[in-house]
Order: sequence, then C-alpha cells, then structure tokens
Amino acid sequence: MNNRSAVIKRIVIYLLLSFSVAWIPWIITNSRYDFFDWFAGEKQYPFLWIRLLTGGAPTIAAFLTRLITKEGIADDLLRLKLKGNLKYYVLAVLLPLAVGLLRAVLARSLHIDEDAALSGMMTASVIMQALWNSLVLAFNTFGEEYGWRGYLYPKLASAWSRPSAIIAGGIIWGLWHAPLTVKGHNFGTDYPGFPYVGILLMCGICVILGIFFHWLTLKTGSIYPASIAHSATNNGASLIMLIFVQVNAGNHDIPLRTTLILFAPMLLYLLFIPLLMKKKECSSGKEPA
Amino acid sequence: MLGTVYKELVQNRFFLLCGLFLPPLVYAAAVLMGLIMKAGAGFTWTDFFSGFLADGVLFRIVPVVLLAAYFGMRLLAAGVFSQDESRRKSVMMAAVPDGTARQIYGKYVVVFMACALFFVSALFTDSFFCWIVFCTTGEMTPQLQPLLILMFFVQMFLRSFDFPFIVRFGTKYGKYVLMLFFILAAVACIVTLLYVPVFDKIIGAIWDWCSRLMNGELEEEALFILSAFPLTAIAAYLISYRISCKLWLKGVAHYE
Repeated sequence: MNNRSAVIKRIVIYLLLSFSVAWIPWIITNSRYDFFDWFAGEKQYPFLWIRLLTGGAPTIAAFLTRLITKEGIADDLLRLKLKGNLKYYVLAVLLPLAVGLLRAVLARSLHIDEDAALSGMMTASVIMQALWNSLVLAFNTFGEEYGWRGYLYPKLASAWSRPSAIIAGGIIWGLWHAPLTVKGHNFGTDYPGFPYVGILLMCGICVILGIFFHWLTLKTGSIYPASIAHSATNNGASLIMLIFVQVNAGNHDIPLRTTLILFAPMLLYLLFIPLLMKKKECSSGKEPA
Repeated sequence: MLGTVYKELVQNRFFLLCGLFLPPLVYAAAVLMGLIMKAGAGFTWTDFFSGFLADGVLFRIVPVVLLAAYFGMRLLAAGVFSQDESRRKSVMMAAVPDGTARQIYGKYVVVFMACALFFVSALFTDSFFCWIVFCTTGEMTPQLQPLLILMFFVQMFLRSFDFPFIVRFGTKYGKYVLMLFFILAAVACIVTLLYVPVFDKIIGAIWDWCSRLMNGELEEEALFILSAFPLTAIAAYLISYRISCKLWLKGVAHYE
C-alpha cells in the first residue's frame, strides 16, 4: 500500500470513529429529550458528561485510529511550546474575544439585542470571566482540536493540499455538528430551508474558524493555542458580548438574517488565508502529520 | 529525547491516576454506603435516589470527602519534588542547557495536570451521577460545578505558595519553614494592630466590608472577587514557577 492510500485509509477510519462516538449519543439524547433542555437549557448539567464525552470524540477517534493503524501515539503537538510562542497564545485568547466584542457592537448598533447597562466593576468582572473561561474551558475544546486540527487537517493536507485540507476539513467539521444543527444549535429552527441551510452555514463557519485554528497550530507546532482560541470563541466571546448587549440565551427564534449579520465579524479570520498559504507557516517547517 | 515532562509523567503516574480515579471512587463509595443503609425488602432505585435527595446524605458527604481528597493530594504534590532531592542528580540536571527551568517546569506541569484531571473527572462524575438521578426520579440535584471550579483555583493558589518553600528548603523542612513564615506574618499583623492605631481602623473597615459582603449587600463586589480570583491564582502559579527556578540551586545545596 503506498503512502497516500495509507493516509486515506487512516482518514476514513478516523471519520467513522469520530462521527459514531459523537452522533450515537447525540441522536439518542435528541430523541429522548428536548434539545434546548439538554444542550442549552436549565436542565443541561445532568447531560454535561455527554457533552464532555462527545466533545472529546475527535480526540478519542484520533487516538484509536493511531492504535488501529499502528501509527503510534507519540505526538509533538501535545507539547505546550510556550517558548517563543507566547504571542500566539495571547492572540488565541484576544482575537476571538475581539470578534465577540465586534459582534456585540454590531448587535447594539443594529438594535438586535437590548443595550446592557453594566457598571465599571461589572464590566471588569465580565472581562476577567471571559479571560479565565477561555483558558480553563480549553480542556473541553481540546477534545475537538486534537482530532480536527491535530489529526484530520494534517492528514488531508498530506493526501491532497493545505487549501483542500482547510475546505474539506471545515466542511467535515461542520457536518459533524449536524445532529445538533437540525435541533436548532446556533441558528434556531425557524428559518427558510431549515435544517439544510443551517447545516450549510455551519460548514461555512467551520471552514472560516478552521483557517485561524489551523494557522495557530501550524505556527506554534502545538495544539493548545487552537484549543484556547476555540474555547474563547465558544465561551469567552459570548461572555464578552454582555458588556454591550443583554444576550438572551433563551431566545432561539432570532431571524436567520440577524444571525448572519452577527456572524459577519468572523470574516476577519479570512485575513489568515495568505499567512496560511505560505509554505513555511509551521514551527517545524513541515505539516505536522 | 522525550524531555523532563515525560520523565515526570512516568515518575508520577500514581499521582495522576489518583487525580483521575479519586472522584469516581468517592461517588461509588457514597452510593455503596447508601445501598448498605437502605437495602432490604421493597427496595426500588427511584426510592433510593429520592431518599438520597430528601435526606441530603449524599450532598453533604460527597463535597466534604471530595474537598478532603483534593487537598489530601497536597501530600502527593510534595512527593513530586521529594523524589528528585538528590544533590548529584540535581547538579547534573543544572549543567544541562535550561536544566533548572526544565526540571521545575516538569514538576509544575505535572501538579497542574493532576489538579486538572481531578477537576475534569469530578465534573464528569458529578454530572453523570446527576444524570442517573434525573433519569430515575426526574428531579434535578444540586450541582457541584461552582465548588469544583473554586476548588481547582484554590488548589493552584495554595500550591503556588507551597512550592517555592519546598524547592528552597526541601520537602522535609519546607513545610515547617512555610508554617513558620505564616506564624511570623500573623504575629507581625497582631503586633502592628496592637501598637499602630490607624491599622485598627483599617481592619475595622475591612471587617465591616466583609460582613456586608457575606450578607449579600455587595453583589457586584462579590462577583468581581470571584471573577478576579481565578486570574490571580493563574498569575500566582506562574510567578511561583519563576521564583522556584531562581531558588532551586540554593535548595540543591541542602540535599544529601
């Protein structure tokens, strides 16, 4: 078996494992409980272990694939590599928070959400919470990042090319969220073309986010900055928005057009495309496959 | 070369496994204890879990035991340092480029990993247990998530005080020096309070502020403190690492 077909075989095994470890619990839970109860509602705590387990599905799949295909589990990406890379760690926290702030400014100026009236002390509290939430909850997003950016993207890049890795990887990552998207994750359920448009949009968002996360991984040669950036996007950015607007977590019927406007600041990540296309955009000078 | 972190991971695998398996063991023991107490004719799981909720037995015992287990890990954390307290090995390590920083870095990373493993494992187990109760009774149980987050940062904060003393004076004497340090600080505070009247006023103001905080009159301030504490703990841990790096070679001189 030549090298390329071996890589493709590994990708197939990885995808089968990654999708089944996440999708089976999601589908069972979706069929038994209301999505906005178990995933985002007041009753979400008893289901947290399912979210932790399924969120870690890509990492579980990556380790299992490495074991099955006898690839070995020693991985350079698991090192912190703080020396000389501290600026990228800072960027991993601050850029997603800045994008969150832009989203909040947009929501406020377009009167999408009600204005927040926070005191100086509350604003400082929100900023600090956003910062440590981004850092601490990175253990959860590590579960996704080690699988996607740490395993799948380098494999796709070595089988085809880096641009195809970013596009195909982003689409796969977006599709992976499909059982959640069809229940209203991120876009609600009340929009034209539901749920296919939602799945398509999720793929688009994942492609865009993947550009920044993959660039961070290649630049530092470590998976942790991408995990922190992912955590800052998921947890920190929504918190930092509270400075400007009163985000109503229970409101799942925001019109799709409004949601898209709010996602627009994420287009900032497209600026990383030229950087990502540079041949030597990697700490070790090669794709960490 | 796999590096010092790998060496620490291998050397301290028992410590890491403790972090991972202590929380499920605590829960399993609590459930087993409940089963022994309630077993008999007419036993049903619904009654069992409802009883647990109504009596509140589980939710009084488990957090206390978890807290004890978590802070009991301090002894194991000290063990991370004690196993390398050999002058010959340490001098050799110091001769390697960046040897001092790498030696201390490995130990700080392993202790952080053990604390993080304990936190994640406890969160997972607590949520899983809440899920079992929710599925059997349909009731929501009180969650330990806020306590676990606080415990994680308190642990980091306390260890950031411990480690420089352990590094400088060794595990044998470090804890006594730390204790002496805190006693001296307390005595200094008391003496100052007794002889300087303005400090009396400051302490009075602090006491008054703390009382208002505890009575829930200062919600914003309370939130500010709770938000600032994790960042303070992270900063303290990093500063502690820097201080330990500076003190390590002085400590090596005392090793046998």
